[in-house]
This record gives sequence, C-alpha cells and structure tokens, in this order.
Amino acid sequence: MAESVNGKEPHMVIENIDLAFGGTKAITDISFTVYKGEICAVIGPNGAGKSSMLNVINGVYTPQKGSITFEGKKFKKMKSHSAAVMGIGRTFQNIALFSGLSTVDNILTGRNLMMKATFIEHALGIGRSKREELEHRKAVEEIIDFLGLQSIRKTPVSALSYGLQKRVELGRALAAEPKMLLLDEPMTGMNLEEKLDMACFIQEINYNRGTTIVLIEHDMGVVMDISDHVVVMDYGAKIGDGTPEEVKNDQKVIDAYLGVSH
Amino acid sequence: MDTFPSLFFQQTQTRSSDPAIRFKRHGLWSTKTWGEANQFVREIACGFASKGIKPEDKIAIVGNNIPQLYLSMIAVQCLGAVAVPIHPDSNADETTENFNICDASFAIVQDQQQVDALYEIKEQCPSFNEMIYIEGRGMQEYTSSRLYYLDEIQSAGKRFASDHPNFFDDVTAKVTPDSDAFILYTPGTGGKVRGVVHTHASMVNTAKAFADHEKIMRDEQVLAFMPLSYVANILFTYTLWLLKGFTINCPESNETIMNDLREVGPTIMYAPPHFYKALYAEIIGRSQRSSTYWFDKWFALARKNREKFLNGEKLSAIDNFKWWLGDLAMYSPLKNVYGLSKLRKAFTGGDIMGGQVFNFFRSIGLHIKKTYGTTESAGLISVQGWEQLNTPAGEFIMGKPIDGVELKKLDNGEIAFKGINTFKEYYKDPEATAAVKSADGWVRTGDMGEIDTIGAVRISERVDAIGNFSTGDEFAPHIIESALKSSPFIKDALAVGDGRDSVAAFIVIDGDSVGSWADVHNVRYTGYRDLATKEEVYGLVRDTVDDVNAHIEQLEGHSCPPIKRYLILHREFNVNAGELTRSRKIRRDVVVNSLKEMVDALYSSQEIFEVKDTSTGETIAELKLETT
Repeated sequence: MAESVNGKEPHMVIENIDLAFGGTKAITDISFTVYKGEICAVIGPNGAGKSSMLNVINGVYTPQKGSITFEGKKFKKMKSHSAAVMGIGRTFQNIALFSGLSTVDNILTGRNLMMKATFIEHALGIGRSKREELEHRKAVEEIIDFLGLQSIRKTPVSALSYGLQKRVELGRALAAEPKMLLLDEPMTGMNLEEKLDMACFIQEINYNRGTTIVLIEHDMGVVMDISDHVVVMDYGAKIGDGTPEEVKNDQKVIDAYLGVSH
Repeated sequence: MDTFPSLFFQQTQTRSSDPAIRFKRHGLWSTKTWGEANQFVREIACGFASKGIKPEDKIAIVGNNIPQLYLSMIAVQCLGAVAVPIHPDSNADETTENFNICDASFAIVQDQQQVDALYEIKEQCPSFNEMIYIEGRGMQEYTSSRLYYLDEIQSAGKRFASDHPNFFDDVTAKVTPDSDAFILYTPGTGGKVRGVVHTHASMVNTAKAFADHEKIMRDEQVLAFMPLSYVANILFTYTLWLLKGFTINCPESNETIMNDLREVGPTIMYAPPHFYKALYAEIIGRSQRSSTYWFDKWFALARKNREKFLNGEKLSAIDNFKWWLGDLAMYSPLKNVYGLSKLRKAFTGGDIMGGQVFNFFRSIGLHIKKTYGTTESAGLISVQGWEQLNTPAGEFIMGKPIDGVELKKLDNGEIAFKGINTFKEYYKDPEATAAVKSADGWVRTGDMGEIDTIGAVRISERVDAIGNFSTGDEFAPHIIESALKSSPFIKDALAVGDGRDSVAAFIVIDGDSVGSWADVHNVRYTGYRDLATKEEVYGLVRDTVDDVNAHIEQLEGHSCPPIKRYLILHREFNVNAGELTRSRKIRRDVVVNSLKEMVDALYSSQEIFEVKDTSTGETIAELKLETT
C-alpha cells in the first residue's frame, strides 16, 4: 500500500483492478493513488475505460481482480450504498436527476442518507421530522447560494438548460457532504462560460471544503489548469500518472492523444 | 434643516424595533431593524475612521443592492465623507474615469468580482489605494494589506469606539446640510461624463417635497432593484427611505427580481421605462401563449373604456360594471401574479415611455405617473398629476414642478429650473458648471419643451438631438422614437433626418417578445440575428411602422413627417460599445457614427444592405431597406 508522499496522505488506493464484461476487457491491471484533498483527473480517449473506472470505485461494477482501499479500509468489491455511506459522492455523465422535481427538491434528495426520522414521522410531520427538515433545507440553501441557483430554486429541472442541470446535479452530490467527489465529465456539452463557472465551483469545493475530487474530463485545457494530479488511460490500461506537467511531456500520452504510426 | 445622519438618527430613535431593511438570504427574508442598523452603522463608521477615512474624502461605492452598501453609505456620510456610487458593470475605462474625476481614495465593494476589476485599474488611478469588501467568498488568497474585509472593519470599529467613546457623535455633529453628500455621475447622452455634486440639503429637501406631494407614508414597502448608482435610486430609494423610515427590500440577486417583486408586494415603486416595457411585453407574450380568447376580450374592454375616457366621453354604469367584472376576472389576478396588487403609487422617468405601454397599465388600473428630472436636479423636477395622467398624449406632459422648484422656458426653447433640488457643482469643473448653471441659480436641463397655462411642463426633445432637414424645417426624432418604442416588439429605435430631406429609422426588435411571437406563429429561427431578418418579422414591424406613421400625422402640436425608410438592425445596441448609456438611453452621435454606412444606404436607392464581419469581411447578415 502506498505511503504518504511529500506529506500527502493517500485517500484512496486502487490496486491491480481488472474488469471484464464477458470476454471484453474494460480495465486491465490499473493501480493508482488518490491523495487527500487533491483534484485528480482521469483522462483518456473515448472508450479508454474512464467511466468504468469511476463505476468500479463507486461500486456499480464489481471488478474481477484487485482491491480498493478507502481511508485505510480495504475492499475486494465496493457496494454502491456503502460507498455513499462512507462519503463518496458522484455525478453522472448523462444527467440523472428527478426531472419532475424542482431544483430544491432534487438537491434535498442528496441529504437522504442523513435523515434520521422515520417514514411515519415524516408522513405525519411529527417528532424529529420538522427540525430535520429545517436543518436539511438550510444545508440545501447554502448549496443553492454557493452554486448561484437562486433564480431557479422552484423550477422543475426538466425545464432547465443542460448546463444548469449539470450544476443542480453537482449540488445534489454536494448535499451529501461527501469526503470524495467523483465527477463524470462535468463540463461536457457546456459553453465556455459555463465551463469556467464549473471549473471555479470545483476548485472552490476542493479549497473550501477540502473535498477530494476525482474527475473525468475531455477538455484538456481545463483539466491541466485545475488538477493537481492526472491519470491517463488508454485501452483500459494506465499509460501515465503524475502532475499535469509531467503528463503533458510524457511520450506515451502524446502518442495516445495525437495518434502514432504503428 | 436635515442631513442624512440626522434623518437616520430620527428613525433609529423613534422606531428602533421596526424593520429598516430586509434581504433574502438562504431563501428566507431576514430583517435588520432600525436599532440594529444603528449599531452596525456606528461600528463600521468607526471602523472606516480607524482606517483613515476623513471628512470630505470621496468614497466609491460599487455593487448591487445589498444592505451593507446602503448602510455603508450612511456610515460614510455620518463621517462627513462623500459617497460616490459607481455602476458595478461599468467597463475598465468608465470606472477609471469615474474614480479619477472624484479622486476616490477608498472603495467599498460588494465581492471578489469588483475587487478584481478594481485591481486592474488601480495603476491608472493615482489617488485610489484602499478597498473594503463585503462578501468573503473566494477572497481567501487575497493578502494585500490595503484590502479589508467588512467584518474586520466592524471589529476594528468596536475597538476604536471603546477607545474614543465620543468620536462618532462628535464627528456626525459636524455634518451640516451644506456639506457634500454625493457625487453622482451623469449618464451623459451627449459627451463627457461629469461628477454632479449634491449636498445633504439638496437631496433631502427634494425627497421631502416629493413625499409631501405624493403623501408617502412611513409604512411603505419598497423593492430596491434599480442600479445603486442611479440618481433615481438615490432619491426614491435611499433618501426617501431615511426620510420616512419605511422598509426597503433588497432582491436576492439580479436574476430573481421578478420573483422578489412578487414576494415583497411593494406599495410604492419607481422603475425606469424599460422595466414597465419588459413587463408589458411579458404579459402580452404570455397572453399569446395561453388561451387568447379571454385575454383579448378583457383587454379589449379595458382599452375601450380607456379610449372613451381619454376622448372625454362619460363612462356609463354598464361600462364601469364591465370593467369591475374584468378586474375581478383578470386585471387583479394579473397584477397579483406580478406582485403589483398592493402597489398604491407607481412612478417612472428618465427616458421615453411609449403611450401604448402607459395606456395599457392605466387601462387595467395601474396608474403609472411620469416624473421628470435630471442628475443635476437630484432626480426630480416635476411629477404628473391626475389632470396629465388622463389626457391623450399624456406621456409627453411631465406635470407641475414640485414645491420649491420653479421652471422657465429659455429663449432657445430650452427648459430651465431653479430651486431646492439644484446641484452644487460639477466636481472640479467650474467651466462646465458655469455653462449650465447661471449666477442667479437657473440650471439648463438640455431638454426642449413648453410650459402650459397651468404650469405643467411638456418635454419634446433633447436639445442636442434636434436637427434640421435640408429644407430647413426642424427635425425632432423623439416623437417618432417614442411612438415606435410603444410597441412591445420594438426595444429601441433611432430616427435620423438631420441634414437630409426625409426621416429614416433604425429599429431594434425585442428578442424576448418577438421570439415568443415567433414561437406562437410557427416561425423557426436560430438566434437573434436570424430572427431579426425573418420575412415574418419584417411584416410585424411593417405593421407597427404603418401605425406609427398614421399616428404621427394625427398628433396635435407636432409637425413631424412620417418615416420614409427604415431597417431592422441585426443586433441590439451595445452598452459596452457606448451606444447606450448605463441607464439604457441611446447615445445618438455614437450610434449614428457607428452605423454611418447604413445611414447612407437608407438615403440611397439600395434595397439590401450587406453587413460584413469586420475581421473576416464575410457577409453576416443581409438587411432589407424598407420603404413605406
């Protein structure tokens, strides 16, 4: 297991993960370490296995081999539920919001795990439910304030633009107060201004809340600007790992991105 | 005689537990009472003093409508310093100019965005060196020793006050009604930006005259949504608030104003014409998208009653009963949806507001009164009374001057005023001051007009907009532009004719309302430029122009020829390019200059004007030059 490097403490250690769907190998023997409080980007061409990697961390897929160590606890396979309970939050490449619910309600669903009152208490509005609701609503309002969603507080999310839906989804992930946030292509399909806003939000979440961030992204410019650490994948294997500077100058990475004659 | 500090202390002493200012935070309205405001103002004023703000210093105030900025203005004025509100969206050149005209040494700003913007211009502003910011978000890594967080200022102020217990009372006692209170920048439709100096007395007395005239009460609710730096905001929101002690409500953000309006339900409101225009366009747009039958029926009824009334016919009991039914079924619910049902008094001013918009709101029982004022007149010279509200073409009559203000018509036809609202001077510009303010106190407004037999003023034109046709006849574009802008589909209009033989017009469509019209009428478009060049939109505008031409010929007291040629511009006028002032008034000379080729094309026999991209030379739009 990786030790702390330069005073950085490992938050999650991924060791020798293999993932195959039937005969198709999606991920081959990948190992890397995400350090506490960093922004780690996983990049690679289409079909490199980035989203699969995120799904393994998150417990959606079960790898055939390898292990994940999160905050010192080692898992052969992660379960989605326990990942959430341990403090791993995520957003999805294809937005997965409750389209009929308002912005507030969608973000409120992110607080689900923290609600202690029973179903009966909530239904009847007795006991802890009222106090809890106030408390959670307050947390949600802080997120709304942070992400600048005031004007669409009560708008059903299906009526929002793609960029705003992505922002609401980030808000929902934040509502669970995760220690680590997995972002699957948070900036795809956005215009430049929305991308810059999103980059600022990610940096601010990282800086203010100390949340470790693992993100998958295509936009190299943004990735190189905001990440502390970049992992490069190609054909399911890791081909680069280091600071943005190191990765940029790595011949293997350049080949994978620019193509090379075989 | 009152000053801003003395007004503030009257409120804090007599009604310390009443709400002074409300703001929305985390989705909930929070309140600061006059008592809390008092403590806050004392602490930050002492804090400002501890950082070196002295009497007569010029303090720039940059930001949106937030309680801390309003209270900072009071604190600054308590110290005898001068508040200089600056528009937060100004570009670097404008801001630099604003800072340098008044030699601002300190700036109180809202957030990181403004801190960054001001850092950029700091080099060019020799006297400007210290900044106080209010919202701490994103400011963790700023470590300049000349940058303070308002919270630090407040704690520094507490310490300072305990070391100098009499400081605050001593320093505020030295503020006199003749001390300078504000430097406000003129929008400057023609030429140079100037810093207009107002004393405590000129602002406070103007507000008093207005409050007496309009019977403003102490329990009003006001939504503070105009840009902080507008003279109208300083008068109708800030000064009136301290004078009467009502409650002002700060919107949550600029994007949520319509929603905040509904939640607050103001009792009095002052808004620029483009606000009412946008509201009108929104209502019309909505009516098109929903069941038009009832909308059309009730609005037609209201319009008919209004027309009858304007024509001097007596409304029958049946007419009144029908209107009452309409009110029950539509007008009241409609006003309620937009938060206007508690509105006792609505005012507008500052720019042209078309008769169609006026009459629409008046027909549904919302009597917007037009006010007339300039930055030099503390924002107010005259207010419409009932007699002007209910005359045809009432939109050009601005009513009688408020108490304490006199009007006269100069030999060249220009209107001049004199009285309690008069500004002190243009800051550090005695020549410019002398050019508009005579030794005996008369100030030229720059507007042409008439004063009628009852003393009401009728404004026809800006002096610098008036031109002459090649025939020698006078050309006054105002009347045409105002008629065009009456249409919910037309956002801006500019008429040219100076030195030519006929009138030509540029029309800027309203992207929102034309867009929703296009949706309803199955017109497909990709963006503003595409929409503006659609055949169907030309048809829509053609109808409006024909209406306007017919209307102009009927209008009494004006002899303006109809529009001969016009085009629909492929873009909106741009504030940052200086085509519009910050308060959205057209800068005629700038626009005419930037559209010079199009003006020439309008006076040629050309049918089509090709707009070229300045860098690539490609044709980006083909504008049809229409002839009526």
